[in-house]
Amino acid sequence: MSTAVGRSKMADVELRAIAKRYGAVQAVADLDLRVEPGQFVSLLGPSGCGKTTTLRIIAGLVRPDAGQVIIGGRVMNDVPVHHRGLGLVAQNYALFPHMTVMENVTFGLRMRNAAPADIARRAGEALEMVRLTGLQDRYPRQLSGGQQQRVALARCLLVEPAVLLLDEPLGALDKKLREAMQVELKSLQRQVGITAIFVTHDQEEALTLSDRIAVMHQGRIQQVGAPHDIYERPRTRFVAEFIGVCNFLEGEVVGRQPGAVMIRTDGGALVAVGADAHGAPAEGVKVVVAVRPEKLVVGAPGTSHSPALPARVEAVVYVGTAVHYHLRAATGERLIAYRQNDAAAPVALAPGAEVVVSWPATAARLLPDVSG
Amino acid sequence: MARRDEPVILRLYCAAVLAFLSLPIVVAVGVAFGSDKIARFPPAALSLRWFGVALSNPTFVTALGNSVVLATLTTLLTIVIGLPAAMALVRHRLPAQGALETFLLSPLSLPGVLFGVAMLFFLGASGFGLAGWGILAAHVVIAVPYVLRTTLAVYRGLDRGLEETAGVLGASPWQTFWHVTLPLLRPGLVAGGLFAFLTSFDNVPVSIFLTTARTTTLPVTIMSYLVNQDFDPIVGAISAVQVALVLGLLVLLDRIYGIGQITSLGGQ
Repeated sequence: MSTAVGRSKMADVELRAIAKRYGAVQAVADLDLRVEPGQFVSLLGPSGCGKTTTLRIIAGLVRPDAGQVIIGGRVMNDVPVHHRGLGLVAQNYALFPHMTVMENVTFGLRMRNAAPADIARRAGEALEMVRLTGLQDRYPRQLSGGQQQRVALARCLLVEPAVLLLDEPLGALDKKLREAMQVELKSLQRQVGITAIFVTHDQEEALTLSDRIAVMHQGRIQQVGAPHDIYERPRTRFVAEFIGVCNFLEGEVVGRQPGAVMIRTDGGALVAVGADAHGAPAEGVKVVVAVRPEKLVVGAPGTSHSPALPARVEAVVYVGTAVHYHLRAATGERLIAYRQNDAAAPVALAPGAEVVVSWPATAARLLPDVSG
Repeated sequence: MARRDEPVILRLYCAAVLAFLSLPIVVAVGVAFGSDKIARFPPAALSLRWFGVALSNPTFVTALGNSVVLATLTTLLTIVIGLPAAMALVRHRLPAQGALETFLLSPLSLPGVLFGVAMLFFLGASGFGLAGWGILAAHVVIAVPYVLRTTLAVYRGLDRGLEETAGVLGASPWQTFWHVTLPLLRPGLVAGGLFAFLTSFDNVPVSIFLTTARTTTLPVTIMSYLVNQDFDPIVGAISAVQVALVLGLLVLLDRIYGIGQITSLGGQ
């Protein structure tokens, strides 16, 4: 595409051993990250995990204590913010309240002293692209949240940034609008082919939008991977817990079989976990077994294959598309299981029912026990 | 301003306060429109003759000119000093930041007479004497807190993300200041500048120590006229001119910015 906003430079971004400390708080520690050209990468984590600081370091708004920021092959550490050629959409959009939509959108080009005819033409195309044609003379306060968001995006894309930085740009929108904007944002990013780095604490948003997700915790990246990778193969308990819901059983390796590891849980149950290329730990090692609630199979006693945990249904939560069973294993562990509310198997279990819980060995993950 | 659902007692209370504030001025200005030689309110017969007398009195006219020039220069200098001070206090980490801010605002709590005497001694002892810039410097000192206060209030309420985003979009620090920061600080600067102008324009306690016959200001001249003569319609007339000037300034600012905008400080 060769519209005004379709000539992105598609730069790659590389962070090498970035560190930043604020007083006693290590905001970012020894952080390495590679973002390929044209990729949409999310920095995902709870508030205070260092994701916004990382974004601000890339933007040049915060100077790292150590490490290098490399954009498009160029070390940017000493390049001032206004010479980095980036775009930023902040959580509150940071639209200039004293400027009209048109003045906001053309800000970057005007600061670069672009030719007025060029500015007008490209602004017109950009406004059309984000469907704001006709609103160019409005002031930001006269626009809805979604419209303000699109102004911020157009303003950003018009300067043809090497990288688009997005700091929780959908956080201020209500749920319905947020979902619509997610789709719009993603298609816009694809269409322009721009490299985007997206900061969010919303795991669903990260899963929906990203090519890759970097999960951050306490200033460090816990895991980087494609959304399904992060969800299906979490490498730490934090990642498994932060992305979606997960059951954890703490225990010890007691034996190994071809393709699986046997674990004795702290409660005394014996369970199997499929061992993949990740490498199986030796006998006697403390581990955590992680299983997603939707992978658990809840059945009547005696119906299921081993290994199976006898359990009792403590609560049944009906959420429409699914039923959530809150279970207590005979060995004491609490579990949660999701059961799709499909036509084939209508809801039958009631609180107090005795059941057995099982799962395919390949559905469980073996995680290091960091507490032990 | 008055909403329909406000209780009668509140409206009466407001009316009483307004009357208390404005009636003395109405009387002082009102006597100027009389034709009698003796100040009388309400005037027995209406006339504009005392305005003619007052405005042909070279003492008053010189003093009025001095006051306008002094207040204008004070306002400009106050903004030139107060704006960077406010920006430094809000956006930078300075050593002894709190103490510095308190110090810059301290003239507000200093008795005017004390400051006037101190300034008089300083100008005398340092050999600078009572040149015109002496009183200008003194007025700037007492007016800076007004600009600083209002600008600080507006700046502290301003989203830092606006300036940061401007930078990311390619605006140099100077462009960011000119296109983003300055326009958004304008309500604070206009409000503070207005206070600074008025502070200078009607100051007596400081000016009285620092003016000479050549640099005298209108309030000081009126004051000494009242001490030497009696209250007569000439004073009323020149006071009316002063009030009219200030009102004119307020109306002008209202036309440009809207008084609500100025007094609400930072409301967009």
